Amino acid sequence: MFSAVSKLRFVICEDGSEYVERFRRFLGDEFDFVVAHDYGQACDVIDGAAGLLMDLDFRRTAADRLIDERGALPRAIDDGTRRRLAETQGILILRQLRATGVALPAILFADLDDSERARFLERTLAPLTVAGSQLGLRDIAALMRARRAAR
Amino acid sequence: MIGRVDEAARDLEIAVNLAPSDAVAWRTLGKILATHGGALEAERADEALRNALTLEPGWADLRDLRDKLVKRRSAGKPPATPGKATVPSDMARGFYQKAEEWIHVGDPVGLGRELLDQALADSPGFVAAAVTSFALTGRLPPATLEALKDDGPGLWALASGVRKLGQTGRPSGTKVARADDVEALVRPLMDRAIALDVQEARFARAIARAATGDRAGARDDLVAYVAREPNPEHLAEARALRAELEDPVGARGDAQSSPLLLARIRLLEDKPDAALRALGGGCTRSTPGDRLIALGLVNDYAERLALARVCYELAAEAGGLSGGAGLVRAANLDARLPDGELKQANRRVLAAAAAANIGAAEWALARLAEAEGDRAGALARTERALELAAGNTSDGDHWVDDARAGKKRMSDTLRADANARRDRQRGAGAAGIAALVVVLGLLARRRWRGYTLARALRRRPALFPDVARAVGELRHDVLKHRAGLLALLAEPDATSSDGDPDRVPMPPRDGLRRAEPGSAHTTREEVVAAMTQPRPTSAVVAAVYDRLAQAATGHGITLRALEREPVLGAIHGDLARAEALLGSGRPHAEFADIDARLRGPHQDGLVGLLQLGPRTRLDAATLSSWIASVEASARSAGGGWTAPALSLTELDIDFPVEHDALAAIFANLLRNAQAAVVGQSDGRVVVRVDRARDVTGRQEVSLSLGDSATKPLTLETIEARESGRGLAIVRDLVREWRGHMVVRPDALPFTKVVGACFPL
Repeated sequence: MFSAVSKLRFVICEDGSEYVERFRRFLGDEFDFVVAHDYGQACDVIDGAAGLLMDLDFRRTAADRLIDERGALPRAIDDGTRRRLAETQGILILRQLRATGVALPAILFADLDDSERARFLERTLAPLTVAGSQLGLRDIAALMRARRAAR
Repeated sequence: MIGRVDEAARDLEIAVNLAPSDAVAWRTLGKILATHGGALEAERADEALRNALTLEPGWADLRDLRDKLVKRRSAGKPPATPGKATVPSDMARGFYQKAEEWIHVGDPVGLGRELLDQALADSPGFVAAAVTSFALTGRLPPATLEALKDDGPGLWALASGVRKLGQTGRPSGTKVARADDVEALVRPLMDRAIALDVQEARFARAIARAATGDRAGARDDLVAYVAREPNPEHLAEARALRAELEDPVGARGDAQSSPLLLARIRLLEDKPDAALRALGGGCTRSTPGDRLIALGLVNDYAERLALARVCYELAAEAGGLSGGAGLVRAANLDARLPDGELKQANRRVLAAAAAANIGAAEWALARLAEAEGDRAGALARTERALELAAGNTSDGDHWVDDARAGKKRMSDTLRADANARRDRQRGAGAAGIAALVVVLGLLARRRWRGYTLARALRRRPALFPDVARAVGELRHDVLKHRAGLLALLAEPDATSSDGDPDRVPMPPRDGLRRAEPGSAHTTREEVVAAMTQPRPTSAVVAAVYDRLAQAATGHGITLRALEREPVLGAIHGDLARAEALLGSGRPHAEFADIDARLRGPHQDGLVGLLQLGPRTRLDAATLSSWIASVEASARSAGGGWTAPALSLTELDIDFPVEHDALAAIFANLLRNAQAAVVGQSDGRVVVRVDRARDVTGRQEVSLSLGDSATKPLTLETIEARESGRGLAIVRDLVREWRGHMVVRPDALPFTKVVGACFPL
């Protein structure tokens, strides 16, 4: 249905493989997906990507692969800090990528109970769409397809 | 009154003359005369009662009445008027009295007999002494017979005394002959007395002749007896006896009287033993029926009830003309037998009697049934017995009274049994209902007791960290990454290999790739795997809830059963339903509903729980009071104190931490700051309360203490500290309440800030 040439490649940043497996299976005909489990890997695969699909919570990621607000890899952190960094790691990675000049459109999969916070992120980390879990795969595909149309 | 009694007595005498075998008439006559007659009527009353008893030996009350009559007669009896020859001298009386005394002690040396001989030598007509002499020697003193030969009353007195000895048997040590011999001995005396116009002797001879079968002689004596005086003492009895002697039914056409007549005659003489001898001994199956009845009567009269019962039963079983009488007699006897004796009764005879509508038989069977525990059967038979007895019994049939009492007793007992049974049934029912209520109560308690998570959070805010962790886990691990796939099956054109194999997949409108039939993995299989592996999502929810329930128990709160918890219970229910549908291959419509609920109301429910977290408002006043408390504590411990400054970015800020926890965090932070500046002459401490949005956009509130201490402090240092003291307490409480500690440099004059941040 879609030619290989026309496929857009998206980088999926997540601590597991749920998103990439699901997207490859159901959207693989239309898009290419590459997974990054931390900031470093994201940097490695970012070239040529059409967009970023960011998970928020990286609780399964080892502490020494998390970055903090400054983008640094902390040497040894307390449990509270590790948890705090993991809970917002998707944002921190995106923030750091933006800081390094990556302006790719991004979708952040997060259920933010604070709508002000969502607006804050979409404003400070634009172009960004915060997608809550109420969005189905079809809605996400539509967002990605919009990106292709924009290109 | 007296006139009516006399009239009744006359009517009854007529009745017994017309029907000498009418026991009831004899009974009534005897009772009237005994009750209302004077002393002169006593003899007639006794004769009537005796006649009644010879016919119905079972009327025991008549025996009692006769005993009373005997006493009355002896008290009111006019002195005997024997002839002159019978009057002993005083000396003879003395000898006789002494002789009696010796004889009473066995007369060991024969002195009694000698004294008796002296008495008779002095007064040969001394009848009492002559009778005693006869008892000792078996002979009548010739001198006595000679002295009395013209003294009719004296002769009759002598004959009566001797006959009585024969009737009562021979006392030990005496030489009294057999009754028949005695009869033969006294017969000449009786004849002589009759010749001397002693009518009592005539009547006695009539009976004796009848007993020996001399019907003609007996009739002659009876006719002469009745004709001699206008109203002889034994008139009614004599007439009755004469009527029976002339009864063609009772007559056998031979010289012998019927067994019944024989028995009756002997019984009229109060000679049951003689009657038995006359009737020929015991009752056997070969004994004729009428003789069995007669023997039964005699035994019954003599109160040998067991023997009487056997005779009657044999007569009943023999059938024939005596069979019916046997049934009646046996039933009436059984009805009044003692319980122990009744058990020996012939049931067949009783049953036959009951079948013949003999009430006494029903009563006897009722007693047996009651003894065997069949109270209902006993009562039914008793009622039947009383029905049959109505109008067919006399007041001599005491079993009727017993039956009435028995009916009342059995009715009461059955009623009591029924009441007890009903009470037991009611008790059992009540116990069952109570048990059911208890069980239902337990079930209801188990089902309805406990708090929802929302109520539990309101009552125990300290439970919030556990709830928040559980909510985060469910939202991320279950709803987002696992249950989120249900949306794929909720889409209306989703197809898979587990759908209709003949269905041609349509091109997807949304561009989502569908699983191809026959492919190794299909949408449904993937969703199934996501929902059930490594363990079902519903099980994960249940496990999370169990953990929450344990935590709640630790806070003194019992949570509801999961299925009734409005938030987690609903999520669990939908996930379990989805898992079941996935396993059953049901249609997609329900997946859409479940998916919609999971994304909508269930997500909202979880967010709602997070919003129930405690809020502790910090303002200057609150902080001042907390500071004062720490100061007081520090001063009482003898430590120094540096008055802290306050720095609040807002007038008041709500912290998502329980009051006590936040107070403890503050107190330990302040104590740590105070300790850090101890010894500094210009030590500074500041309390900072702030609200800000972090780089991730998350709003945070922070409570921190700045100090001027020079000693370095890092988060790693705090992390390494053991729990239970100072900043370690702060660390643990902050972690518990989902916050994080900060340690950062601060602007002069402060060197660092140590604090706690909590996301809102």
